[in-house]
This record gives sequence, C-alpha cells and structure tokens, in this order.
Amino acid sequence: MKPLRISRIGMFLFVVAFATISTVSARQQTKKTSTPAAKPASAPLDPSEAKSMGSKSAPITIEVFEDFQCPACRNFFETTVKQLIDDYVVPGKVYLIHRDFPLEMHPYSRQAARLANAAAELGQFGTVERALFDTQDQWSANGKIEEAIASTVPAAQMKKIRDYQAAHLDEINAAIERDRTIGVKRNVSQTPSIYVTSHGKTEALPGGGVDYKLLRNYLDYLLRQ
Amino acid sequence: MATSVVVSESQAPPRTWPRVLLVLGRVILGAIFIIAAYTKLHFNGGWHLGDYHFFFGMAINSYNLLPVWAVELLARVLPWFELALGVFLIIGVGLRWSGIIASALLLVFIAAMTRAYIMGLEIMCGCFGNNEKLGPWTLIRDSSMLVLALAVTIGAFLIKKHRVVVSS
Repeated sequence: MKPLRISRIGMFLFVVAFATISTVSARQQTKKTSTPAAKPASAPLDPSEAKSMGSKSAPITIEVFEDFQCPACRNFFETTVKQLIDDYVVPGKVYLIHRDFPLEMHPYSRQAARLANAAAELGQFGTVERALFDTQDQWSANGKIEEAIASTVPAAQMKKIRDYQAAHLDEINAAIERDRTIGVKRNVSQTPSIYVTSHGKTEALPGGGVDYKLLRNYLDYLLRQ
Repeated sequence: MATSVVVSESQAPPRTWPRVLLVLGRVILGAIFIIAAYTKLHFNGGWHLGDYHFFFGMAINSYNLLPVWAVELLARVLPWFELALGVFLIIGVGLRWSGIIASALLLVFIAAMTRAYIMGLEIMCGCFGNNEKLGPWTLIRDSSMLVLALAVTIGAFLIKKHRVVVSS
C-alpha cells in the first residue's frame, strides 16, 4: 500500500509542479513580450548603413554588437565573420550590421570605434574594421591605433579619416552612443552579442561568439524556411 | 540474530519522514531538470521546438570540448533527455536509476564548467537558457544540485534495502 500511496503523491506533485511551471512560463512569456529584447522585430532598430555590409533586402539581417578591443570579438571576426562575409553577405543572403558597444574595461575601444565610424562615413569601414581586429594585440598594448593599422590603411587615406574625425567628432560620438543605447535596450552585457533577424523575428544568439559551422547551419535552416 | 532484528523492525511503527524527504527531494530535483529542459526549448520570448538545437549547440560548443557533430547531436538530445529524467524523478519510477543518471549527468556538467572556468573562458553556462554567464554562482548552484541528486540516490537505495529487509 505504502509504495502505491507514495507513487500517487508523486503523481499529484508532478501535476502540481507541471501546472506551476506552465503558469510561470506563461507569465514570463507575457513579461518578455513587453521588453524590447524579446519583442519580435520586423527590422533592426536604426540600421547604420555606413557600418553595414551586403544588401538591405537580404532575407537575413545579422547585427553584431562589438568592441574593437575585445579579444572575443577579434576571435569571432577572424573565425566567423570573414567567412560569413564571403559565403552569405557577398551572395546577398545576409545583411551584416556592425554596432559599436565599447566596454568601459577597454581603455582604447572608444578611440578605435571613433576611427572606424569616421572611416565608415568615408566608405572605408570594412578595411578599417579588418585592420583594427588584425592588429588588436599591438594597439591594445599602447593605444597607438593609427601606427598599428598603418600597414593596411595607406597614409593618405588615414589622413582623410583623421580629418573627418576631427571635423565631425560630435556626430561620431553620437553615432557610437546610439549603437550603445540600442544594445542597452536589448540587454547586451557582453561582446560580441549577435542578433539574427529573419521572417520578421529577431533572435539573440548565445553571447560570446559563435562557431562558423554552427552559425552556417542555422542560417541555412532560416533560408530554407 | 538476524531474524530477531527483522521481527523488531517489523513491529516498530514505520517511519514516514525519510520517505517524505525522499519524495520532496526527488520532486525538487525533477522539477529542476524539467525547468532546465524548458529553458532550452523556450527562450527569446517563444518556443523553439524546430530550431532549439542551433542555439543550444552554440552554447555547448563554446566549452571547446567536443567536435561539432557531437555538439549537434548532444544539443538535439539533451533537452528531451533532461525532460524525461525530470518526469521519471517526479513520478518516482526507477528512482535508483534516475538518481544515478541525474548524479552522473550533473557530475559531467560540473566537470565541464569547472574546466571552462579554470581556463578563463568567458562563456555562457547553457544550463538554464542560453544567456546565463558561467561563473562561481553557476558552479555553486550545480554543485548543490549534485548534492541533492546524490542524497536522492542514496535515499532511494536505503529505502529499497529497508523494504527488502522488512518483507523478508
């Protein structure tokens, strides 16, 4: 009799637990849909065309919140983004947006972001972004960003970027802050943070970067839908 | 000598609190596993029954432990395994096996998490949802769950042994 009674108690508790979990989940769902991070978005907020790559009409949009001085961002850029650009952005399957999210812990990340934003306005974002990540080790140590990327960005081009930055500093700072605000609204707490928008729905990928093969499988799945 | 012990035990009033504690323990542990499964299938404000494995796979892969094919397989299977384990624990069917499996599973999780933490990997835990950072808190929490799982397993064996002695 005893084991039978305990099994019944177990069954009863299971039903109670399941009902509780369902109720909590329903409440969480209601709460989550009211936050900007969870709300299915038809399009990303304020896409900065100057810092994006690919066709705006691509079926998938990927937004990456990055800090140029963050090693995980460099790793993500080197191992995933470069291939992503070749395989999905260039063929028009993905629209890739860079969002600045300089972290306070990195003393030169804002400086690098300002340089990248100035370059973006001159149509040189891709080149400078690549140069910043490729030489991150060098300029992270001493803050001499221009010196570090000099091998990739020609002197004349660098002068134009520097001049543009000096003339439009407030606008550049505002652009960085705008990206940061979008990130804060989405509860971005680390970089890189990746958001994928497809079929009118935005999904946050696990933070900290994603392996290219796994991302590719996910993108192919989205493209098949 | 052994017979007299059995007689005296069978005459003593049955103690209910060990059983009550065991039921409570297994229900809590089962609920935790069900919640763990739920958070892997429901996140970003909705159910992801068709694509949960991509997200969970990305979290598993950040541990740098397994080849991609194994990551994909594990990501597909683990949430359902956790769900089944949770249900088995709550219902109390095959409790000793469920307890052993839960303990072993938690031991593997904690080993992987500890390794990642020692290596200084700044990754997501992947334990409850996809956006929980791995850190001391997640290690303490999972270790507490392991203690509970071990207690349930030992309790299940002791009660079973007690039943066998009494019935003989």
